[in-house]
Amino acid sequence: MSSRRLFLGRTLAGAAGIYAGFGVAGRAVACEVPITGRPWPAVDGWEHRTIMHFLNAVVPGDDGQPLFVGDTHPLASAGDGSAGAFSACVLDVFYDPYYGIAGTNSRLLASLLELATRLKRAGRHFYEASPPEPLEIVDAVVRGPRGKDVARAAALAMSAALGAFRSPSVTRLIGWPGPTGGYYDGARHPLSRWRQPERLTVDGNLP
Amino acid sequence: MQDAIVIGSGFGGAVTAAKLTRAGFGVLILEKGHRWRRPRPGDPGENLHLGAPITNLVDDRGFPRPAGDRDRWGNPNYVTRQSTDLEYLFFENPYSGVRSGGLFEDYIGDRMMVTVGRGYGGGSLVYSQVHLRAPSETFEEPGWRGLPFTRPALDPYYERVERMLLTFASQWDDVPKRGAVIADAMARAGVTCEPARLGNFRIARDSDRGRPPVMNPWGRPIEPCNGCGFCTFGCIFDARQNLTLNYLAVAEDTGRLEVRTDAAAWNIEPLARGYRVHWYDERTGGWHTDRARAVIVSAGAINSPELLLRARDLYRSLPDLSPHLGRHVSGNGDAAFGVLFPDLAADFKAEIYKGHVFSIVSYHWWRTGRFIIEDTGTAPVGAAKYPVRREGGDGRYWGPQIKGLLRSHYATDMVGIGGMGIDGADGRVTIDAAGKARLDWTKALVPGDRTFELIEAIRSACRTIAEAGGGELLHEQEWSDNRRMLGVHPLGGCRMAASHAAGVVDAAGNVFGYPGLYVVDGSVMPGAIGVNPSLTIAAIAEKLSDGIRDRLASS
Repeated sequence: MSSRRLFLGRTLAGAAGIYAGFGVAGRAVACEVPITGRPWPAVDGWEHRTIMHFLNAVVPGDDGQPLFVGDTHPLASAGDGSAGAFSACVLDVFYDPYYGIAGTNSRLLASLLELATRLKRAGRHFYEASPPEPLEIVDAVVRGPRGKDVARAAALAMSAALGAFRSPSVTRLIGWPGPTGGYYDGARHPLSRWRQPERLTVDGNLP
Repeated sequence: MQDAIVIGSGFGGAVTAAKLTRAGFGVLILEKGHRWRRPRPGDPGENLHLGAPITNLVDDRGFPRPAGDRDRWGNPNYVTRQSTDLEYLFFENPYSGVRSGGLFEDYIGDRMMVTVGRGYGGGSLVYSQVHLRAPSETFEEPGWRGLPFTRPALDPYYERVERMLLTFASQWDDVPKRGAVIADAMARAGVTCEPARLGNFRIARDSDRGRPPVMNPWGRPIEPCNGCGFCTFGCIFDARQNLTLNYLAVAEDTGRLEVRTDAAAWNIEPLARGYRVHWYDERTGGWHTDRARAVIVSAGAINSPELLLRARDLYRSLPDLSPHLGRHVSGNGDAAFGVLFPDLAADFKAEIYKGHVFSIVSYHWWRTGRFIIEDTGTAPVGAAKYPVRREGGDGRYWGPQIKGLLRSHYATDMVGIGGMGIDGADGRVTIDAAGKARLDWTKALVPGDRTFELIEAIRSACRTIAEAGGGELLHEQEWSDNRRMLGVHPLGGCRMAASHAAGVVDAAGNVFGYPGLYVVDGSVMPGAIGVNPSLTIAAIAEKLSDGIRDRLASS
């Protein structure tokens, strides 16, 4: 099963579990208090699930700390531990026109990915390919003449997707980070934890 | 006829507009970017709602859609968001022909690439709010000789700007985790370092919860910075005190300022008394003209020379502009690298995207190498924007290698570190047949070249710091493989000099041969500044605009 399908399945199962009243059980196996303290949002579309998964892959937190109550994908060194999950998630975002990677390059690149998928007989659509085929498809496209653009567009797409959750609608949806919440706690290490270098100036300016 | 037209609204234009309007002059600002505002619930285009079409955000030309409300002059407002659509955010790229009218512009040459902010407020919409005075040695560089700019001469103007921007010296306990990790490594390496001097954002504390915002002296809110790390894409919380909240606010409140956004100045022609500016509306494509007794070009180090090059070479309306126009462009020695600290303790992770973008500055190598080192924050997954790999990798930048690196280390163990310094200022802005700017570097970046040696020295310093902290410097493709500089602080192109034979404007910012036509922005710098340049640009604008005000009053 592809990591993406695995993810979807696990997420759906998790959501079903929450709805079925097993949220407490989910909390019990979580090693720490979830970052947001909110329940895993209702899953009502695969795009939404992808965002959730993407957040889980990159949102800061200690190892194993879940993002939401009932989150079945605790972080491990800031990435989901299942093979290919992060990649599949990134590629979802890159490929998926839902996220509006509407630049000329991106449209071309999405078409190239689609074409490469079919040439490889990995599926009718890119997202149908199973690991390691998605990586092989992307790598095949990257090796083409527009390789740098592929990498650039994909990277920017990731930024764009991550930026999405700063939209008020999304912050309302997930309750994080939000204009008045988020990083108030834990943004700095206590001074006792690290060595401060010697200073050359008194006020931060050289003469 | 206006008293003055100011083209551009960044640090040069905003300071000048505030100065002139407060002195009683009528000023028209022409800004080719949008007027951005923070998002509000109910804004259109929140297309993360499931099923909402992407076309909510951009129109059929790929241009961002405005929010629906307008400012006091009728200019449409656009919503700052980071960002559901690349076309909404990026690019004006003359090489690819892609033009979006987003928050940034990219100019990509074979050996130099710069990204600059775009919109009402200019670079302040996306800058890092690091406010450093240029050290004395900056003004001892050859380009500055013969000009009345020294550090003591500029200090009163620095003080003015710092009062307006509410600059403060941050302390060690303001430094976010990523800065602490790097500072700790610096301490282990015996490298000196300071908490950065920053603009007037308030670092949020628990006590801020639920409180109304503090107001700045100009009646605009100072929202607390919650350290979300998205600064580089435009703050949606207005925690970044951009120029619309201070200098431009002051100008607006006089009632003597008129603003046209989405208004791209295209040509300037002299009149018997004053100048006529031809501009077009980016939204409609319609052409307009306005006249003024004085014109102040403040469009930045790429667009100011671009505009004047069109006037000199394409339309020949200003044929006597200096042959130095477009030359001596500096990248301010910008160089950025990644460091991987693979063995950080579980309670001392870097969490690269938390906190303000730059938090510490090291002058350790300034005396000997004329460069500084700073930490670099990025938005979440920001590091993925830059193709990086571990030294000794197989040379590929996408695929399992980079994904493995990100999956294992990105959020916790990877940091950005970089520097800036005095480079050779060998960049050049030219225009193509359509009158659009092109940018490149005129010298080979090889050993012995000043810029090459500077960037290699910055890289060596970063490696020293990384290794002292048990980390490794990551391989950076653009510089290491492509010999292309990436910069966000372009300077020069209309350099100030003692004569027409040596530069474009005189020490008062007046274009040689054209009384009443001024350039006031980073493009007048005769070379690199070597530290974050916004404060120096604004300080020099304070000085130059004093003279412009006095000459307008006497004419």
